[in-house]
Amino acid sequence: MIINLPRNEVRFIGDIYNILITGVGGQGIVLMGNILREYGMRFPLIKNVVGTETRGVSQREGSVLATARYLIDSKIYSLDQNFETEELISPLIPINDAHIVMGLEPLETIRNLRYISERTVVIMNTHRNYPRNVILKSEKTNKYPSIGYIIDILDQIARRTVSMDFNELSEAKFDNAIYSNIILLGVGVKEFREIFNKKLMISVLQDFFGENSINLDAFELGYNLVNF
Amino acid sequence: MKIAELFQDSPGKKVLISGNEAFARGIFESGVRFAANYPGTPLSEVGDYLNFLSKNSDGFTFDYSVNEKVALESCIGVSWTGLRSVAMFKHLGLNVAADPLHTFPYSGVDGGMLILCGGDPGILSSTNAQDNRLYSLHTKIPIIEPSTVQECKDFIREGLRLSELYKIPIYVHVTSRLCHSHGIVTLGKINMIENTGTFKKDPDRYINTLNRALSNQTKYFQIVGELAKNKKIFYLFNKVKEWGKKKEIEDISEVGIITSGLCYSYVIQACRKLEIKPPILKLGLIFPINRDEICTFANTYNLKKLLVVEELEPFIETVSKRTFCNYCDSKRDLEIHGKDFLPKIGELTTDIVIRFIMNHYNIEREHLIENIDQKEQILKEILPSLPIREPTFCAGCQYRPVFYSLKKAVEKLSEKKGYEFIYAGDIGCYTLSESYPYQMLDWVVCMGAGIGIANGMAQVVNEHQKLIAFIGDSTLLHTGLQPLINAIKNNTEMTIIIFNNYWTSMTGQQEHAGTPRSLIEVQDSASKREKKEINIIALLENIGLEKENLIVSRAYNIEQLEKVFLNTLPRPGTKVIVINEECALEKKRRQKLYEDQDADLQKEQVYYTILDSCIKCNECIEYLGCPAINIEILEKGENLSDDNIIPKNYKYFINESSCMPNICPGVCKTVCKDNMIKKTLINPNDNKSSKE
Repeated sequence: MIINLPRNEVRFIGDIYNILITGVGGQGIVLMGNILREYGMRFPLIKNVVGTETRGVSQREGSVLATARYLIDSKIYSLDQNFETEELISPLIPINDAHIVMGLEPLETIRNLRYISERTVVIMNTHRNYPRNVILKSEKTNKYPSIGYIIDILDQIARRTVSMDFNELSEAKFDNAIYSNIILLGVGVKEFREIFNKKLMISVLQDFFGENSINLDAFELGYNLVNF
Repeated sequence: MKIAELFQDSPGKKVLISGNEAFARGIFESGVRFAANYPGTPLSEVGDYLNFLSKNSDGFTFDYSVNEKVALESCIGVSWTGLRSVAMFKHLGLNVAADPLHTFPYSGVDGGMLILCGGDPGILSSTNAQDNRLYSLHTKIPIIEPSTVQECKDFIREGLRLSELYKIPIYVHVTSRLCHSHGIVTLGKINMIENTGTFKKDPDRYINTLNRALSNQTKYFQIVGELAKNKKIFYLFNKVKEWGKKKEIEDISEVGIITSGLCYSYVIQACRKLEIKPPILKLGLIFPINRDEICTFANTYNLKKLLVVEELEPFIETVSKRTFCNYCDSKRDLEIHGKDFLPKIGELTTDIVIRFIMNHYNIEREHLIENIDQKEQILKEILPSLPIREPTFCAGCQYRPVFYSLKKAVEKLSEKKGYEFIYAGDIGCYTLSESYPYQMLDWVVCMGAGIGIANGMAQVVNEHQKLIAFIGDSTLLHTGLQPLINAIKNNTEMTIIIFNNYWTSMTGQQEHAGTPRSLIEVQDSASKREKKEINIIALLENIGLEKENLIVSRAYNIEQLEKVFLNTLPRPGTKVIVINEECALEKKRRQKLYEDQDADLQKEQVYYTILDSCIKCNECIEYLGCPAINIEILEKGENLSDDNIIPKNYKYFINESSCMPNICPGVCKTVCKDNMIKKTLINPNDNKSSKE
C-alpha cells in the first residue's frame, strides 16, 4: 500500500522543531518520546533537546501526551544568530507550534488541536479506543466523534493529514497491534527527511529494542508506506 | 536512561535525563549520606532511584519513611551529626511535616540539609495547588528554585553548600512540569560520603524551650538577614539574561521582567515570538531577596515597568513591591505588574505570558494575538464536545471485585432496609471508585481524612445513613492510624475497609513499613540492619477492636466478599474489614521478572475469551468494568459515529495484552451469568489446550 502525496515547500519555521506524540496509556507514547529525544541527542545538527510527558494516569486508560523539541543549529538553518542553546528550555509546545503530531488515537489527536496549525503535519492512527464511559453511554458523557468529522477538522487546520488504521496494518503484518506506534514513527521519519536521518534513527531503535527486533521491520514498513 | 547508568562515575558526560533523574544524580554527586521520602507525584521517582542506589552502595542510605514528618525529622537527625541529608516529598507532604519545619531552623543544621518539595500548580495529580513558597514567610527558610534540568542537578550541590555556609536548612522549590521534563545535563564529579557522624551536645542550641527558643530565633533571623545581603550568593543563584552574542539589551520600552523556575523558559519563548529583548532577571534564590540588587537591576536598565511572571501566588511580586516601596533609594515611579493580569490558578503557558507582555510593551504584534484568539475560539467550539477519559482500576486489579461485590451488597441492603450508604474516601488507588461503573465515593480531602471526617459525621447522622470508610495500607500507616484509634475508642458507627495491597501503589509500587520483606526483591546489603515488617492485622487485633468486628478476606472471591459485606455493614459499632491481596500490577511485574530469569518457570498459559454467542447482557461491562474487556466494531466505515455504537454493530472481546490471567482468577467469567466467557489453558510442554 503506497500513498502518494505532494511534497510541500514549507519546511522550517524558526529554528525550533516541535514534535507531539499523543494517545492512550499503554500505546507506547512515553517510549516514543524517549526515542525521539534520544535521536535529538545524537543528531549533529540538533543543538539542544527538551521534552516532557504526562504522568500519573498513563497506566489506567488515560490520555497521554509526550513532547520532543529540537533546537536546530542556527548557523545552518536560521538567519538569526543571536539565539543560543539556552533559548530552548521550555518543555511545552506553544499554541499552534507543532511541526509534527503523531496521533496514536483519533480522539486524543483532536483533543490536542491546540498545537495544530497550517505548519503541522498530522500522522494519525484511525483505530479508535473507546473510553469506558462512551461504551456505557453514561448520561454525562459526550459522544465519540466520527473519524470523518475528525479528519475534516484536521484538513481545515493542519498542513497535511496522513491517516490510516495502523493497528490493523500492524496486526496484518506482525500478528500484533503493538507495533503500530513504530510503523507510525517510520512514516514521520520519511516525512521529515531534513531532520530525520534514517540510518541514525535505526541505530537509536536498535539500542532501544535490540538488533533483531520486529520493531525494526515495523519501522521499515512505515518508512516505505508513504511516498512524497 | 537505565537506572544503573544514572549513577556511573563519568564526569563531563552529557546525558539526556528527566528533572527527577537530575535530582537523584545531584544527590549522588554531592555526597549526601541520607535521604528520606514518602512517595508522592511529582517526586516519587527520585525516591525510586535513590532506593536503588541505597541497595547498591555502602555509604548512602535511603528510607521510605512512614510519613513526611518522620522523613523530615530523620533528615534533621542526620544533619545534626554533621552529615548531609535531603528530605523530599510532594507539596502536600510539607503540611504533614510543618510542625518540625517551624522550629528546627532555630537550632540550624550542621551537615548540609535540603528540603526538596515538588509543587503541582495545575493540580495534575494532587488534591490542591497550595503555593509552598508562602511557608517561608513564617519559617524564614531560604528558597532556591531551578529552572532547567541541568539546574535541578546543580542546585542540589549549591544548595547543600549554601546550607553548610549559613548552618540553616534550604528549601528547593520545583513544580511537576520540571520534574517530568527532559533535558541535556552534563554530569559532574562524585563526592565521597563520610560514613558516620558525631552529635555534639549543645543544650542551648538544640533544646528550644522558652528563653532558649527566643534567643535561637533571634540568631536564626540574623543569619537569614545576612544571607539576604550577600551579593556573591545573589549572583550565584540569580542571573540577568544576556541576549545573544552582542550582549545588547534593548530597553527602549523601559520594561523589565523578573521571573523564576520554569516560568523563565515561558518568558524566553514569549520574547522570541514577540521579537523583543527586554532585561530579564531570573531568580534562582527567591527567598530571601537581596533588596539592593533588585534595586540595582531596576536602576541599571532605567525601568519604568517591572513585570513579574510566576505561577500561583504573587510571592516574588509582593516582595518586589515591598522592596521598591520601602527600600529603593531612587524615588522614581516604578509600576509593578503581575497578578493583576496573570491568573493565580493553574499553570502558566507561553501564550498567557505573550498576552501579559503585549499588554505592557509598546509594540505592534497584533497578528500574534489574533492567531491565538482565533485558535482559542475554535478550541472552545470543539473541545467541550469531546468525551473525556476517566481513569479506572488497571485490568486485573484486585480492587475491582471488591467494589463489584460491595456495590451488590449495598444495593441489597438499601432496598431491604432503606439504608443510604456514605463513602468516605482517602488518597490512593481506591479513589478511582469514583469513576464509572462503581461511583462509590463521597469525599476526598487529604491523607487519613476518610476515617477522620467519618469520625465526626458518624456520631450525628440519621440512623438510615451508614458510613463506609476506605483506606489503603500505606495511607493507614501514614496518618490513618490516629483517626482509626479515635473511632475504635468511641466505638463509632462505621465500617472501615482497609485495602491491604502491600505496596504504595498509586505512586508506582514503593515499599512501605507493612510490605512483607519476602516480596522485596533486592534486600539491603549485609552491612545494614535487617528491616522488620509491620503486621497490620496483628496491630488491629491489639488496639481494642472486638474479635467479631475484625474481618480479614481475600479479594477475588466475589460470593464470599458479598456475604462478608452483607453480614458486616448492618452491625453496630466500629467494624474493620481487611482485604489482603497484593497489587496485581506489582505481582505481574515480579512474576514476569522471575519468568525471564528462569525459562522453566513458564507455567501453563491461560486465556479468557468471549464467545460469539454472547447476548450482551452487559454485566461484565456495566457492573464489573474491567478495561481488558472492550468493544470491536463489526461494521467498518469512516462515518461511524457514536450514534452507530449500538449492540448489533459491535461485539465484546477480551484484550489479550491487557488481561492478567495469571493473577486475576477470571472475575469476568464468574460474573457472566450466561457462561459466555471461556477459559483456555495451554500447557507449554504438550501444546494441547483444554477448555473449561
